[in-house]
Amino acid sequence: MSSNDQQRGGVADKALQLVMEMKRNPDVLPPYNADLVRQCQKKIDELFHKNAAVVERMRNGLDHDPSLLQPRLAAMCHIRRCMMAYVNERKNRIRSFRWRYGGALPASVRNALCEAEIQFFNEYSSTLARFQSNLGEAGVNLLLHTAPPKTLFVQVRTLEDYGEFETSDGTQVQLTKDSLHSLPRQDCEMLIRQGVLELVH
Amino acid sequence: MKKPCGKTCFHLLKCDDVPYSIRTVEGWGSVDKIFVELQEQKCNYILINCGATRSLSRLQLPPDSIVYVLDSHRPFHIENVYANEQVHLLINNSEMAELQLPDVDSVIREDSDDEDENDDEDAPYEQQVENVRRRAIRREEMQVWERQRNRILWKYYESTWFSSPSCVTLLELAAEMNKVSAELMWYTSVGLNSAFIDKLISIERYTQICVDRMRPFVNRFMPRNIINQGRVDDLLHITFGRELPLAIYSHWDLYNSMTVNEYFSIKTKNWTQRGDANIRQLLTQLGITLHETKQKFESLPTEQRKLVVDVLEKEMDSSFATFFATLGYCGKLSACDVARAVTLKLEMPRHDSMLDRFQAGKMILQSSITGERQERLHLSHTLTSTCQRALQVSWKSVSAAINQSEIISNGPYYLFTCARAIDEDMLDSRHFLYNTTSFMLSAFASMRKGRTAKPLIAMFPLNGESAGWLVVTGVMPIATIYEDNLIKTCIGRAFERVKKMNPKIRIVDDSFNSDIIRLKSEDRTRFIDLLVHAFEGD
Repeated sequence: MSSNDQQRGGVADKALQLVMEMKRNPDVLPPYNADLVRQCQKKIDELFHKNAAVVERMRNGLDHDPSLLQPRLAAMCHIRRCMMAYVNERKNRIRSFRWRYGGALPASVRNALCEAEIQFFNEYSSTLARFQSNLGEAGVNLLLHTAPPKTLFVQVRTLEDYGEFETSDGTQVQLTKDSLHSLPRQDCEMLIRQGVLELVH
Repeated sequence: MKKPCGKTCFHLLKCDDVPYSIRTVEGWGSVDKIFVELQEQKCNYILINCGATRSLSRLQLPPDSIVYVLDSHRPFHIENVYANEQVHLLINNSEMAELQLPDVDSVIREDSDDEDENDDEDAPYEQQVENVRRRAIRREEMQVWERQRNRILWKYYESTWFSSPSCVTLLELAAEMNKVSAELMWYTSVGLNSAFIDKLISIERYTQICVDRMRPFVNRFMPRNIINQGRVDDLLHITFGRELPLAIYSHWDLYNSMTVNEYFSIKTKNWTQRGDANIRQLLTQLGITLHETKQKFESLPTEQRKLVVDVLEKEMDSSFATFFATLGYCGKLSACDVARAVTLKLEMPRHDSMLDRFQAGKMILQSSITGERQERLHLSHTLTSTCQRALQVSWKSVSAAINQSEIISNGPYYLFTCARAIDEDMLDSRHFLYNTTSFMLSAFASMRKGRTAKPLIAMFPLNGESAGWLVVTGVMPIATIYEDNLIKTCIGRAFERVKKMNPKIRIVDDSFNSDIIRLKSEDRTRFIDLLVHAFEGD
């Protein structure tokens, strides 16, 4: 390994940073770190070229040092794994957003996604919608009634200023912070999941 | 908003699956704010225990909405009664006589001047003269009428009082709709008791309501045959019976409860140095051992408990009776004690948001009739900590006021200015203020003869966030307060007059109770002087 690498620490530090970024923010989705990902790719490239150079020399029967071939390969695999873990974790979270926010993502989340991720989200949404409409005769909304309902109406408390909200029967409700409402369960389930409302027992 | 009412009301709405929202309000400011916020919405409003005493039409009511007001504050603002289509007051028919509403014609008159404003210049001279004369006569009439009107309104608004609690009205409403249940009745009895312990209604009135209006429910939900079997099971039993008017004694020990009780405290003058000896002497006379009074009341054997209660009841000569809830093995709870706990949870502490307090109060109320262990523990914790502390602070304030002669006579009233800082959160509690001031006045009057004819005005300094302000409240003289069973008070009126006489005095009268105001401490002296005039002007 070159002295340059030693100064910077481990060879897979950047990759590890990616994984840690996800781990340190368990409840929010950090913006897609394109820069780090690119650096990781570059690292893999660099390692690959070094290995390629050694192999070249080997083929030509020149003087060479084969000791670092295997470690470099292992490092490349490791970096790749970290990157995949990063992408996978993001994918899972994006999927969970579909269940929490429905088809429309709030701006804060949308800004944290990259182009490809948004595309993934849209595809996932439409797949889910297709699946739902194929169930039964008229389709089933899987987002509703995740727990067996006991009453049609539930009492909820508003946790943040949300503004006007229209229930399915056309009643308009002003959701301001610290107020109690009794609303049809199916209408407010989404808002409960989003954390705007809280069930009151 | 009083919780028991709310509970009943929500139950009714829930039965019909009507979507509703609850907003908690603390004063006029927040009512105003909510109406402004909801300007564009068309819905019906039910104001519970607020809103009747000031003109609602002067607030910005959202157009097309109807406001129903269920309020026990009296008197109603005259504009709420007559001049507004949007506002509906809900009251019991039997109360109409008590209200002494003035006639419509004597207080409200349509302006009819504009018709002859456009006197044409071309009219003959005689007619113009005639017109002028007619207008002069009308103006004269108008002035007479206005003077008359002011007199009538003055009399009408002179004093404020509380009618029967709103929860009783709601319970009757529920019964009318055939949706009444034992739980609702329990909530109502707690609400009724809370009005009594807050000193909003007199004992006669309380008993009258128990007898007249609660009787049908008592008969319905307390079948005698079940009680007489004396079986203990997991069911909820509500009973009605005599009770000592000693605060939370069954969750405390008798000694402490008697110390802070108004009757015993005044009888033994236990704020003096001889106080302790006096209490012991009294106990000896009654034949109660110290051992009995100093241990937890609950841990006394049942027979002994009964005996002691009998003796004390005879001594206090009270006719107080209340409701009890028995739930399985959880022990008996009196509605009076629960009411104390709920009231204090609802009014304290200030730093919690109103909705949090509302929820806390609701939980306490619910826990009194549900058997869940955690909730029961919470209830008993409230009773043993918050309620006991409130009672002790109240007693300590009274004893300090009398020992250090902090009460001075100032012209037509007695003035008390609290020198020590009292626990901040207590001062926001109406329950605490009303009880402390009336206790103080009775204690003060008991020290010497001839102190029953003047009202007491009490001032408590605030600290912390609202430092520099005083909470001012007052009680009517002992000699007159019980004149008509309604506990009428004109203190609020006097405060209003002071404000009118000198608008520069910084007074915040946001409270629904006009006799609790906040006053900037720098304006204190001016306020005191003007109050003298206000009382003398009466």
